[in-house]
Amino acid sequence: MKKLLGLALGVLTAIGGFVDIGDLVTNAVVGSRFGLSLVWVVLVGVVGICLFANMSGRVAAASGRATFEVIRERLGARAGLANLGASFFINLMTVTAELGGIALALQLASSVQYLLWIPVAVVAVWIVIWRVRFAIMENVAGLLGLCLVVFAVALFLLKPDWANLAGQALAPAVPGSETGAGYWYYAVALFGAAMTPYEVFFFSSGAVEEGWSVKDLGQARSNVLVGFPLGGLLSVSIAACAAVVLLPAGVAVTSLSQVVLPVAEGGGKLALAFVIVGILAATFGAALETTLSSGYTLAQFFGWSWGKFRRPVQAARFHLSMILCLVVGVGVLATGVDPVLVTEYSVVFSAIALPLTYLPVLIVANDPQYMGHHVNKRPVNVLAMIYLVIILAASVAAIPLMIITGAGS
Amino acid sequence: MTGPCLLGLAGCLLLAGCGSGGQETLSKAVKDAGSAVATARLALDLESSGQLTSAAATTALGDMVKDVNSSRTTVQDLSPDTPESRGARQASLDVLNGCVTGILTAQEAVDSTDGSPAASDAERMLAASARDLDELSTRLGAG
Amino acid sequence: MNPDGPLSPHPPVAGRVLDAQLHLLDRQVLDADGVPVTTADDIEIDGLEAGVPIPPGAPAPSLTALLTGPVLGTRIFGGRPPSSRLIRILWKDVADVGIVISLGVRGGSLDADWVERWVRDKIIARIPGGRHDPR
Repeated sequence: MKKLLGLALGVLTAIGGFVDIGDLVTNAVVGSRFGLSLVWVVLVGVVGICLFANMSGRVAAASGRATFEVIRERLGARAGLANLGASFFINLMTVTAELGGIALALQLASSVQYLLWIPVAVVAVWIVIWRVRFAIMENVAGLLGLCLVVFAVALFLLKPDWANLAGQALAPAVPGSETGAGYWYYAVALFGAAMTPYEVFFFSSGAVEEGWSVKDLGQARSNVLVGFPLGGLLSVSIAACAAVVLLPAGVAVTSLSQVVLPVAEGGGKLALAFVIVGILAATFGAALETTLSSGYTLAQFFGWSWGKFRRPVQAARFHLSMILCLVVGVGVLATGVDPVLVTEYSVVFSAIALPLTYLPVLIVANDPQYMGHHVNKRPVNVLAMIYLVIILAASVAAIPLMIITGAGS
Repeated sequence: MTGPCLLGLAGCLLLAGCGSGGQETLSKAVKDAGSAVATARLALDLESSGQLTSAAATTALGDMVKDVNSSRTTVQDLSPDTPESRGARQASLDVLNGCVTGILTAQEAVDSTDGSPAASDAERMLAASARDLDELSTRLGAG
Repeated sequence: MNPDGPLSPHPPVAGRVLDAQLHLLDRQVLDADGVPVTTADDIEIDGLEAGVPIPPGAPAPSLTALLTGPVLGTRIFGGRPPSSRLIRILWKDVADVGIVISLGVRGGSLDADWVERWVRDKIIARIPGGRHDPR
């Protein structure tokens, strides 16, 4: 049992990364418009994030230094500050979106207006960050988030045409109603959603929170190899459910309430209950993950004392910065902006900021001063270089595609 | 029932020529509204058969009303310069209004405690809106 | 010494050779308990003036302190805060230089820690549960 709970960090990181509010909706949008023809992107993304998170987890375990400390040290103050600016801004957008996502999930459960749930959401998130132990937080959010497996269950209950689904996935083609530019825009968005930097910030800082050392390198690897593929599987299930129910009905997903309809059709109210609990846990976990990442990135760049393992008075600026982030998030949501729209943009911006975050980690993972003799092996470096090219390509293509397709509309 | 008559007139005018920028906006608005109506029918159907809670159904229908309203605003903001495009815009607005009425009726049916309006009434209105949207999009596509 | 010819070889020195950019700047500074204090944003060197060549035979310039605080802004964007405003971590307080710079003193006694102490006393300590030990 302890071994299973030891995987909680990886599972929670993956849930916050793969099935947060933005991904829940993006995966459903992709399924409802493109069927399963973009599943290969999820696969590429899962391998990439496994590679990236494993490297940063190993760096944190071997040297005790979390990712953003490494970024500042390798890139220097100016480039590091630019990276901080971009990463922090994206994090803040995501925090805003996740708080909105929690409120949307609560509205789905209760039909009480979404705006009324926002104060509840933000206070709950803050109390957990202020008070709850890291281990309890990751275990509870991670386990409850696994309820999203109900998407896979519902898919089986819907008795789809498996041959057709497999055909869409294995022989990808742009559907007639969509353009090539739209297809590639969503490919970049899905890739950015799978490889968001905050997953890496959270995973490596979490490794320090848990006190992982060189003897925990194996556990770091298991976390990565269990958590992220699981997240990818959940993503694909969501897309498949949408492809089976919503695509034939001519529904293009625009909001969270449409995402749960296939589950209700497959498994009725019981499945619906599970999926709402899962969505609530996933958005709550993502809100925790992104808020903590905002604190981690600032604290690690400026050298502040940080960590949930310290008393709040011993990490004062860390906690203050997170409180301010939550306040800003609520302020933005109070203007009535659509949280789903906010994440759809932040996911694309993540793809743009990715190279600056990835490169320092790759460099340090090869540095014997940090890693001792746990530096990257040759095959890992080869794979990492391939991914560097893919990441640069996605980063360069993101803005032009966004302009050409009008953000995928 | 002036709806089909207006549609017929608009159809003739559309075939005679149409401003293309406005036409793209109209096509997209019609497509989005079609998706919203399909969602509303699905949600209504699932709720009637006891597979969807009324809270979730109400939320979904409320979201769809917002979607159709935003399509309607987009169409309203068009400034057509020819009589054909004015006719197209008016026809689209009429159909979109019908969609909103249908979805609102569905919401009332879900929330109602005394069985009125009936879910079947709402489904009938939504099905009619779906047919109108199909016709409209065919004509816009042909124009 | 011929000013146009190659430099004479460096005399052997006891101790370590550090590169300021590689080993000092932008490294985390941890206190004696391992608690982070700040990041080394800049360094202060005594006996060196910008634009003035060092006369031969003068004693070598020496590193007096690590700097933090507003110098980060001036290091990136230009300018220089007045000497009295610099927040210093004296070089004599540094115990070791490795992946991080370890100090031999506790953070509580340092100037560099003042913002943390201020935020702690004025804000965080006032929120209920601020002193709660999470372990």
